[in-house]
Amino acid sequence: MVNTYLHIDHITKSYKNKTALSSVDLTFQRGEIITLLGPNGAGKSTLINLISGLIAPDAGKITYFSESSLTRAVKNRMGIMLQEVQMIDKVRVGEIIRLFRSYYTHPLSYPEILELSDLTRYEKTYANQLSGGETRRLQFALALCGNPDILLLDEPTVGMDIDARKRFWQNIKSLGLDQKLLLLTTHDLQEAQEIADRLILLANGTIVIDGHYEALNQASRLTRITLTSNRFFNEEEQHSLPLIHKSESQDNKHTIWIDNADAFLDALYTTGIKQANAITVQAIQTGGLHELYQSLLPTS
Amino acid sequence: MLNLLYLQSLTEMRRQLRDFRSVLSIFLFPTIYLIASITINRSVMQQLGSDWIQYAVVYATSLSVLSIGLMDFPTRFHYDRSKNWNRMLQVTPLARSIYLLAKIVTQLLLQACAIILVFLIAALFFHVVFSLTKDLLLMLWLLFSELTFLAIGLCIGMAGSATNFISFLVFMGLLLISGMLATIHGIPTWLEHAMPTYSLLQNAMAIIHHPFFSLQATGMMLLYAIIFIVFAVFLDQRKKIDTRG
Repeated sequence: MVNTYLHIDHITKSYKNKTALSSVDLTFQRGEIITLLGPNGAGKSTLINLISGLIAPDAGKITYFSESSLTRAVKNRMGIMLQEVQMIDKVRVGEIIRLFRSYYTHPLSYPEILELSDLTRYEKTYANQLSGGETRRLQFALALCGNPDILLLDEPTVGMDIDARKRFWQNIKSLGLDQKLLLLTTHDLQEAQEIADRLILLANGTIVIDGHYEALNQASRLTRITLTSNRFFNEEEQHSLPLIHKSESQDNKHTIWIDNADAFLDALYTTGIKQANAITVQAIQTGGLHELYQSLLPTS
Repeated sequence: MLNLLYLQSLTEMRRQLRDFRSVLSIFLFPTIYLIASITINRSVMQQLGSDWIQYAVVYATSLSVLSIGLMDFPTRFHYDRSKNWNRMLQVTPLARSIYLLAKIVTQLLLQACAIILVFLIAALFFHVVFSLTKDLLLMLWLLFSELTFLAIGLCIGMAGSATNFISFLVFMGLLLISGMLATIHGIPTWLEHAMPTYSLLQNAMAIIHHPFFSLQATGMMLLYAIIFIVFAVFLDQRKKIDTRG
């Protein structure tokens, strides 16, 4: 049996002058649960759309199982939950699930789909009358219809309340994921680390990190320092301090992300910048994937 | 594949029959047109003979062909696109041809029902009864012509947010040029003859008068069907390439 379910071979995609993905190279195996993580515009949805065949790459290719193109046989083994799809009118939840089941050769049973998507009591409801979270659950149900080997979920929990999210992840875990490949996107790191055993962090169309959560957490040594001062460092001061990866300011409160807290604090004292700017250090948060991820988010 | 087509068509049929506006335009519009045109022009029609009432039946059924093909179909097609439903189906194993075919089959079935309804009302309330051969030939002709108007409708349905406006414009334009809505003087004959509505009406009248098809009108309609189907397929493929970036 082929263990490599998806191989993304140096994929590049641009929209007009903006590069959405730049030579991304990834391989996904059966049984993996992968989270694509990244801020808005990082290229997560572009990657999902490329894998789904909704857009074509400018360069590179994607191999599904051992097939070099997205044939009907491949689609038969895939379930995809897209973003920005609305439900059509005058069709009930039950009817639409039954219809989608008919598209696949070996569909999941109808009661099982309803149960896994928590939609049993909405069977007779018109699909376009569901709330945002319920609509996402119906989209999840439609992605499950073919009992897929590859399940792609693009921001699956957007619009769901806390309880619904919790049940959603419980249902995902009960899917028998050891035989499947689950690839999902999110910008919620906590959600990502709860379900996935492999994290891929995308920023500006490139892979920043790719690995298991624990290993990445250890490797990420970025430190966040929160301080107050009269003003933020000017250009000359920034040159005499260790590299600041990112900074955010609100009134006289500033947050900065740096590699080494000790070296930075030493430099603040020795250069006299601390006294000159009346700096008070409020908090130091050391290391971890969370800080690395925060440093990649766009400045608010 | 047939089972898939059946289920897809069933869903489309359900959606349309549950939509009040759709039911109104498919069934009520030609019925009201028939009743109104006969009632308003009753005295004139009585003087001119029973042929004129038969013409009213032909006009009502032809109007239904136009209404479904040019108003209802493109609007519904555009609605699905606006919800990104096409993208949703594109990632499933469902062939796009089945999706389109199901939509066309649904429209043709509804069209057949609308024609039967007009025939029934004409027979029950206005005592206009055609022979079974004429009924069948007329039905066959109208359904064949519907394919041309559905192909035009498909092209209109791909016009994005301008779909509703364009479909109304084309529908009203063809109604006025063909004289179905009212007789308008001054429309050049060549323009009237160049429209598919002319072939539609010409052949329908030919069937009523002598139960056989006019070769010229059939040929013209076939030509229109081929041109617009090819154009619709071209536009659909182009749209697909556009969405693939």
